Formats: sequence, C-alpha cells, structure tokens
Amino acid sequence: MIDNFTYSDLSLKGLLEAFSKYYNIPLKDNFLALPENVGNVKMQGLLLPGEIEVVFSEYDYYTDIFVHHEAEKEQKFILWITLSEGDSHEFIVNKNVLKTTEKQYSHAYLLNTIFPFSYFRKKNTKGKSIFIFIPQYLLSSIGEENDRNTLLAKYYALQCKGLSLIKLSQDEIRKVNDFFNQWKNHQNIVGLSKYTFQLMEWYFTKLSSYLHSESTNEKLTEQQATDLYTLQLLLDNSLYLLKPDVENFEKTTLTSISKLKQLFVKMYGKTLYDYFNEKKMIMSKGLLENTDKNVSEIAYEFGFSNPSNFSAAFKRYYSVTPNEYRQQLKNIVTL
Amino acid sequence: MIFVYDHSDHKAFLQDLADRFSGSFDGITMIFPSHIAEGYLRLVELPGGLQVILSNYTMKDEFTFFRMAFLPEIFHFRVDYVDNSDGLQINMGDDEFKVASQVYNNVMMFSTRYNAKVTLQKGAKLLGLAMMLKTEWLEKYFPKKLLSFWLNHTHVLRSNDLNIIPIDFEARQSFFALINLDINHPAYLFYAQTRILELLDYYFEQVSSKIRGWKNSDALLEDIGRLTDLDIFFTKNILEKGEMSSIDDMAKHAGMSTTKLKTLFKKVYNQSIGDYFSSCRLNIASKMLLDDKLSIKEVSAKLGFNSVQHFTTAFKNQFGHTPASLFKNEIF
Repeated sequence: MIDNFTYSDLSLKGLLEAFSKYYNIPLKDNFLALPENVGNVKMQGLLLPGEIEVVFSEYDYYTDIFVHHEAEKEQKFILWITLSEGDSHEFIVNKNVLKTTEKQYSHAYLLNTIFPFSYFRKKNTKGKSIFIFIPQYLLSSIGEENDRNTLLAKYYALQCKGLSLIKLSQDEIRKVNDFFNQWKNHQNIVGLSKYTFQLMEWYFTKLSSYLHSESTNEKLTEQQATDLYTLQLLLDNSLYLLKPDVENFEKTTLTSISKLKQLFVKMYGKTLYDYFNEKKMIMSKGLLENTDKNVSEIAYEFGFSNPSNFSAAFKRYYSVTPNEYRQQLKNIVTL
Repeated sequence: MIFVYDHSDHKAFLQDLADRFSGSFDGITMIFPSHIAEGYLRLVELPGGLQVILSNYTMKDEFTFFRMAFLPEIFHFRVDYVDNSDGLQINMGDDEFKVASQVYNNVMMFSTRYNAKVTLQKGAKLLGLAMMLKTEWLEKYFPKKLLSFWLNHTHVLRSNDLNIIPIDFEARQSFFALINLDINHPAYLFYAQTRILELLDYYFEQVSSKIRGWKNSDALLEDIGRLTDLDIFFTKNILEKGEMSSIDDMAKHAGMSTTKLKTLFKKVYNQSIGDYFSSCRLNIASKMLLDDKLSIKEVSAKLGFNSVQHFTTAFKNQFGHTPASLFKNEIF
C-alpha cells in the first residue's frame, strides 16, 4: 500500500497541516512526528531571523509514500534541498518525471507553486530535507532589474524542459548537515538562519550564472516574459486538444504571436509545436508505463482523432509504436 | 567633541548626529563634515525590524560617543575594525580600557543597562557594524529557556571580560565583504543579511564555547590587541604574497617567546596557532579556487605548498573533501 496524498498550499502552515491531517497526528509548535508504521519521520517548521520560514525534516521511511502538490494560483518560490539515500528517487515537476537510481541523492531545486509537483519516497529511503520559503523582499533582489524578466523566463523554460536541479557540492552538503546538528545540539537559531542564507546565496549564484550562460542574448520586456509564460501554460493545459488554440490566444496578449513564436524558439530551444507534441509523447509514455489504459484511449485523451495517427507520432518520437513499447515493458516484467 | 545619546533608534541617532555636527543625512547615509571625519555611517534596515549601522570613516579630530544607560534593556552588538587605534579608549560601566595595538578588531555584545563610552583619536580609521537586539526580537526566534540561559550568562561574562571577543580570519572576511558591498546592487539586502548573520553566529558560537568552559577571561585586552596585530599581519602575508611564516618568526614579530605566544594564542583564540594559520591558508585556497577560478596547481604553488599532493591532503583534512570535488556541480 502506498500512502498517497495531495495538498494545495505550499507554505509552512499548509505543508505541516497537510501531513498532520492525513496521518491524523497532532501538530504542536510546528513540530510533527509521523506514525511509527510510516517511518521515523520528524518535521519542524520555524521562523528564522531574516523573516524567513523553513520546514526541515529528517526521515527514514518504512513504507512508500507519494506526495502531490497541486498547482496554486499564487506564485511562491521555495528552495527545496534534499540529502537522501535510497534505492531510487523520483520527482514529477510540471508533468516531467525525473527518476534516478543513484543511491545518494543531494540536490537543491527551486520550486514554483504555479507548477504542480510530486515526489515519491520509497521504503527505506533515509535523509534530510529543508524547504526554504523565499520571502518577497528577497525575490525582488535577485538579478539586475533590466534582466530579471529574462532570467525568470529562462527559469520557466528550464522548469519545462526538465528541472532546475543543482547538485550540492561538498561544501553545501556540509552546511546542510551543520544545519541539522545546530538544531539538535544547541537550537542555535542564528546558526540555522546563517546556513539558510548561505545555501540560498549559493543556489541563486549558480542558477543565475547557469541561466546567463545559456546561449540566448535576448532581452525580454516584462510584457514579453509574462506573455511567453502564459503561452507555455496554455500549451500545458491544451494537451487534450489536437492543436493548441494559438489564434485565440493572440487576442489576449499584447505581444504579437509571430514575435512570441520567435521568442519561444530562443528561450525553449524548440518551436512551440515541437514543445507541445513532445509533452504529449512524454505524458502518453507515462500512461503506457503506469496505467492499464489501452492505446486508443490514450490517443483520444491527447486529442488524436484516430489511434493510428497517435501511433505514427509516437513512433517518430521513440522509434517504436505504443503497442510495441508496452510489449517491451511486459517483457521486462516477466524477465 | 562628544556626542551623547540614550536610546536604541538608529535612525534618530544618525539624524541627531548630523544635526549636532552639521553633517548631512538623507535617511540612509550620514556624512560627517570634513573637519570632523572623512567618511560615512549608513543605516541598513533589515526585515524583522533590525536596524544596522555600517560605518566607514577616518577621524580628523578626537571624538567621543557616549551612550548613557537606559532601560528596558537592549543588547548592543558591535563588530569594529579600528586601524591606527592607538589611544582608543573604551569605558563600559565601571571598567576602562585603553588600546595600544595598531589594530583593534573585536566583536562584542553588551547590555544597555550600563553606560558605554568610546573615544577615537585623531587619525583613527573605523570600520564598524552596530545593531541593537531588542528582547522582543530575541524572544521571537529563540526558545525561551535557551534565551534566558544565554542572556544570564552574557551578564556574568560581561563582568569578567566585557564580552570582547577577538575576530578570526573567516569572520573578518565576512566583515570586510559586508563593508565593501555595493549599496546599488539589487541583491544588497540579501548579501548584507547573510554576512550579518555570519558575524552574529560567530559571536554566539564563541560565547557558547565560553559558556561551555573555555576561559579567556584572564587574557588582557592588551594581549588580545597584540594577537590581533599579529593575526592581521601574517594572514595578509598569506593573502598577498602566499607567504606562510613559522611560529618562531611570528614570536619574533610579536616580541615574545615562542612558548608564550603559543599559550597566549590558545587562550585567546581557543585553538592552536599552527592550526589557525593553516586553516586560514586553506580558506584562502578555497576562495581562490571558487571565486578567482584558479587551478588546483596554481593555488598550490601560489600559497607555497610543497606539492599538489600535500595541498590536496591538507585540504581534505580541513574540509572533508578534496579540492577537485568543488567543481563537481551539475545542473539538470
């Protein structure tokens, strides 16, 4: 059995209350310990100097747990740092699946609440994690004003292509461990806050130098960044259609569609139709792997008027037809 | 010249200072008229209601700041770097200290229930960080029990040695980075806050180890000053020339025997002089690798290590990972 739950307010309160409610355990002073059959899992929420909220937890899971966070209307940024050890680690951000079978997993990742995200913690996964809720005043201080929107658009693009995950260096791993030691040994709040700020500084420096190094030299206006991002949301929300309704979309934006198409290629490295089709293929592959839906059902779900068109598109992308792919999966299982 | 005040409002403090001595104050930066001092005091307001003053000025005349005792009690946290500090005088409650070293570089916290007076001589150059930690601020973040334990000890320590704690190389780097931050940088507040937390944490850590039994209470401020001079001189040598001096040379420089230096250093810094300087060198190495993008070979040669092998081993012993592992960063 998998513990599987969904919540929709990613904040110190929202996160802890969701766990507290699901497992029916009391929440006291923002502290939680999950039931013993689930694992040895402790979570603590704190307000730190610098007006920054964190939720950190140490865990050793005895069961599988799947946590899903729904997309929110309000945009909030959360730096999520994980040091984990287990057989495999799996995250789904904005429908992109990231799976690793490395034993050790140590990454930092900037979450944005307008994207849905889920994580899967397998039985016998042990580790530490910190959610740092980035306050507004810090966000406005990231990047130079004239290229903040470009950075943001690139970050959105990065989110869609995969994940803005950065592997922790040894120095940062030490800081995360020190963070937990400080809490256990002295409850030194100033020390916790120091490590929190150092980790954020490290992450933002890395992320922005990575984003700056991406080949585009395009400078976006605020309007263009917003429109580009809205376009991407439209694509993500239209996967059940054969084609995205780009023409109607143009009426709602200030930037012309031809300019947006051009910018899309620059920022996302592919045309919006390629992006759209690729997304469909990735998701249909997920359904083939994880559900019992047959190929025609999946084809209709993604807006194809008949299954053979879907099969052809799938084959162009993965070099095998959906039926062949499913057969391959079965073979793996029976072996 | 003397300036007297008795409150914790740093903005009003700067305004009064400007009014009294015909300086200028635009709500953020207070500039002295040039016959009194060259430089500024700057207000940084951190989220959560903390007011910080960063100073950077050189006195053109003798000047005294006199803070009269006031209640309710507030904790005044300071980091100071005074070059040309000869004649610097500090009075706290009934205690009086005269500084005789070239550089005075310490961190301290003291309660406003005592008078405090600081006199700077003409020619003294001061870089400083000052902030007032109100009880409400401390109570907001610290667990109650821990806070009262900690504050009680702060009072006890004060009567012994004024809570003056020498600043080590790493904390000094944070401090200089803070003073030199470009105020126009969009992430100014973010960086400033990180550096301030590093300094505050340094102080809390040092006081905690005092509470846990480390005694430097019989070290005189005079001794701390001599070691500060030595620390700054020899770390500068490593930074600028890559030159690592022997402890015998250091003792000669300080005008004391090697044994005395070792004992005194251990007492004031709570670690051996050898460990301290080799960890300084490795910290510098780490910065050179990361910030200046030098190769391991270049850094090893620049800082006078015998071989790359020797450097790598020492680095690993200090940080728990090899210098090469610093570059194994991946982004998906």
